[in-house]
Amino acid sequence: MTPEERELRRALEGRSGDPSPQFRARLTAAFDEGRPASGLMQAVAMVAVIAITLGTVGVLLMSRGVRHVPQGGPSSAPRYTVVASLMAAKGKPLRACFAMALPEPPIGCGGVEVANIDVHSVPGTKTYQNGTVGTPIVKLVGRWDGHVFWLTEAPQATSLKQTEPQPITQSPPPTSKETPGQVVEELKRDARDLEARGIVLISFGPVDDGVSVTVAVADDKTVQYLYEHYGRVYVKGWLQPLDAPPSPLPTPTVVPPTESNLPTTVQLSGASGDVVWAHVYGPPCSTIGACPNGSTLFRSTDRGSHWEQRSVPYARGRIDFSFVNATEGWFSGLSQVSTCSGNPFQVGSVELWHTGNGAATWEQVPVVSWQEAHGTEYAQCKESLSFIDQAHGFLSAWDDNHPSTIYRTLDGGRTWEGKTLPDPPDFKRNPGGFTLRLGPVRKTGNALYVVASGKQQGSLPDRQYVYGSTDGGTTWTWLTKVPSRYVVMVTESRWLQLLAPGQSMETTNAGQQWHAYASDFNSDTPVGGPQILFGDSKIGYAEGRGALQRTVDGGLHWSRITTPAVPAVKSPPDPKVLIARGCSGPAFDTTPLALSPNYEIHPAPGWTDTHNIGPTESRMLQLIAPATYGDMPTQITFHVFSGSALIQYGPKVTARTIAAEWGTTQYGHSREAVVTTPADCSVASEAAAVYGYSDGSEAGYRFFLIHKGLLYAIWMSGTGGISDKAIQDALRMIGSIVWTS
Amino acid sequence: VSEDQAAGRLQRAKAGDGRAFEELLSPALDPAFRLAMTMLKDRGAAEDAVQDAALKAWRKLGSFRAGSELRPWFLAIVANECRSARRTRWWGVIRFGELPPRVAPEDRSAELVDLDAALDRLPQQHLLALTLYYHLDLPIEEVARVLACSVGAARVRIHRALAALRPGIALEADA
Repeated sequence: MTPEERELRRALEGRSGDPSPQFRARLTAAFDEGRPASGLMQAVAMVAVIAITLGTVGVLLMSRGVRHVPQGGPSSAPRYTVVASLMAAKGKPLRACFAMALPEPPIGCGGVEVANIDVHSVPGTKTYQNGTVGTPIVKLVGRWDGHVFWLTEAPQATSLKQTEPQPITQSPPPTSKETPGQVVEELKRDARDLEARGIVLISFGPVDDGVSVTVAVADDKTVQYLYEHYGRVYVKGWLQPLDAPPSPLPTPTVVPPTESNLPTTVQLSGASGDVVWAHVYGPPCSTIGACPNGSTLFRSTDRGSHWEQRSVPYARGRIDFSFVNATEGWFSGLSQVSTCSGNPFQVGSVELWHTGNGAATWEQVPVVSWQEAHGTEYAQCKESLSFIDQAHGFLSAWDDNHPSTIYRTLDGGRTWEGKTLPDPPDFKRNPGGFTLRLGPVRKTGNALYVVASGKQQGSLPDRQYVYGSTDGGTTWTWLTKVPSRYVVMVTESRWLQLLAPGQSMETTNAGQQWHAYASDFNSDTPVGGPQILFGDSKIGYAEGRGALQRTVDGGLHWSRITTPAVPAVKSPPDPKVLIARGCSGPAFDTTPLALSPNYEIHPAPGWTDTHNIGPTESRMLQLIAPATYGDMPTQITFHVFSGSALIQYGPKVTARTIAAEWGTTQYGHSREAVVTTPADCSVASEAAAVYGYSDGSEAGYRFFLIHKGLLYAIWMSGTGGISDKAIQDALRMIGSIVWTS
Repeated sequence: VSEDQAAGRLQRAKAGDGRAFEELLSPALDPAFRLAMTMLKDRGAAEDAVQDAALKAWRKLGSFRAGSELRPWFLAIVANECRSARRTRWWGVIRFGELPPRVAPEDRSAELVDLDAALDRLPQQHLLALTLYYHLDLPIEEVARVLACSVGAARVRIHRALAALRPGIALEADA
């Protein structure tokens, strides 16, 4: 093997990774749910039906010029109709297209899968060079089986103005527990699960006090489910009922009103006496520059009734924190070993900060280089920082291929020593994800505990164990198996598993026997378990989806407490990230790049063409900024959407309309914020609108131009933000566009 | 696993037995995930791509011939999913997730960083060819099956990918 080949293999290995145990479990669960609707079966059914029909009514259909088959699909299902175009990318299923801008040539569309139709039989059907087949706008009628729209009539030509989806009005939904942005995130996360339930999401986005959701069919079951799981969602159905029975109004589940501006995630620490600390992600820090890590830190000295904001240090990587009392605490930035596979080239560093004055100020701890101290034999993902006093702290580390490790410091975090954990008797570690992943080390009484979980080869589901140490973490011993990894130690002998009423369990002999526990605790977290922390044998705190609960009787009764947050700010809040700088600028004296026959651009010095554009994509050019802008590349990508501006937004569309639309539907900004922040300007005498967006680690700008009926979208993005110089150069490049026709 | 066992497993999977399909897919899962990670450089996106590919493979299992090799067939589906994932990103909310770790000088050599950046810029079809051959270590015949081309054409593609990655790089596709 040549040095170059070795280098290439290392570079590829560095990008790669092995599937995590969690992913394997998810995949197994997906398989357990059964095979998804088979395209082949539909094809077979269609072929069979076509054969039968051609023998009977084929002549009639052919005489109408439409080889449509009014058979197949669920015969008892209600009928629906929609106005849309039909489209199928090469090798992909045919879909009824929801109104979205499409690239030219199109590469398929979003919508619902359609069966029972020969798309080529629809008048005006066009086959593009990339193999995509598309029809004009037509009216469709068919039956909906929860996954596929089975056409029962031949498509009929209709007018363009009928393409707007007609919403079904539902009763007012209950108040949501989360912010619209949080609900949007949950919908994104749950889209596949919802589809498995026959709830096909067509589009969704935040509105003033909730989230607007368009689903394929808004029947009562669907609406009820969405109300119960997402709170204030305004449900619209895309397919309109023809002869479906009237939908009874769903009965909204009453959701306890909570703070209107709940954060995305809250980490808890330092529960002792009346003190508890909360590290809050999400609003108000979902904007550039508002908080160092996109997060804020709060301290309560009255058991969570009132909170005061404290400072946080700037940390990179995975952020974790640990407090031992009201004044002493640590923050860690754990450089992520991206694959957690034990790759020897990705050691991963540990950055640590310490405060002794209640997070008024922070000082960085001079941690001895991890590579120097521990070598590079293999790296592991480090997480779950946990200190138990001023000197003693722990970090958990794991990967897919090696024994899990608990690192311990005896000097406040400067040096760390690792101990690998032995396998429990009924667990055999194997490479490829069959290893144990550790939670945080917790001190209860005089003992230390850590919960470990992992998948065993050929066995489901995950197994969970508790390890303990009675010598301050010098040695660790496997103690017992536990029913889930959401076990919390209240005392050395009394442990709880708190999930939901009827699911909670208790042991009073350190896990030897478990019994049902009549706690009223109800997790706000639908997937996984809550984060629970006990300060003593009576007082405990729990977090789920950003909402906090507290018990003062050892876990039997729980009540909501105030979740710390500061008033939300409209984004982008920092004038430096606004784009109102004027969009015109001088052309650079470099060789122009042709974007299309219609225009060209002069790249700024140092910007390079990635050549990473597929022939069928809307993107016309992608440029990477020079490294001088920082250690992460800034990208600028030019997209052209042929004819889509008028189709999607109507004849009165302006660049500002589109900017506002994108800002609200895609990034959760309030319409007011978006409308006031984009700066109208012109690019090469064309009206344009732009807006900046930011969302924690992501930030960018979108520019919208309409030129001769075409929508041009120009997108800038940079991980962690975009430097001011990059913005200026990009603006000048955009200003350098020369329209040639 | 004997041929009879494999055939039985395939038959059960075709009949909708999820456990049988998982067993069938299991040997190809790790290389498939590595392929997706290398192509997409994002764990979440890779998981989505592999899961979607797995479900598609299950749906399409009826067209899979008994006695054929499942791995190249499945890897081709995964590669398609990765291409689709990259194409459709524009329409979704683009998330970078956690900040990637800053590359400390002692962690990786400058050359490796340069090469990684070059891989970032490489067209997908080139990256796919290099991943199959140099990372997954597939025999050239299997690379050809995934790429749906002849063995000779696969060699040419790898050669072109190397040339695009770094002109003059001293590697041979038929090593």
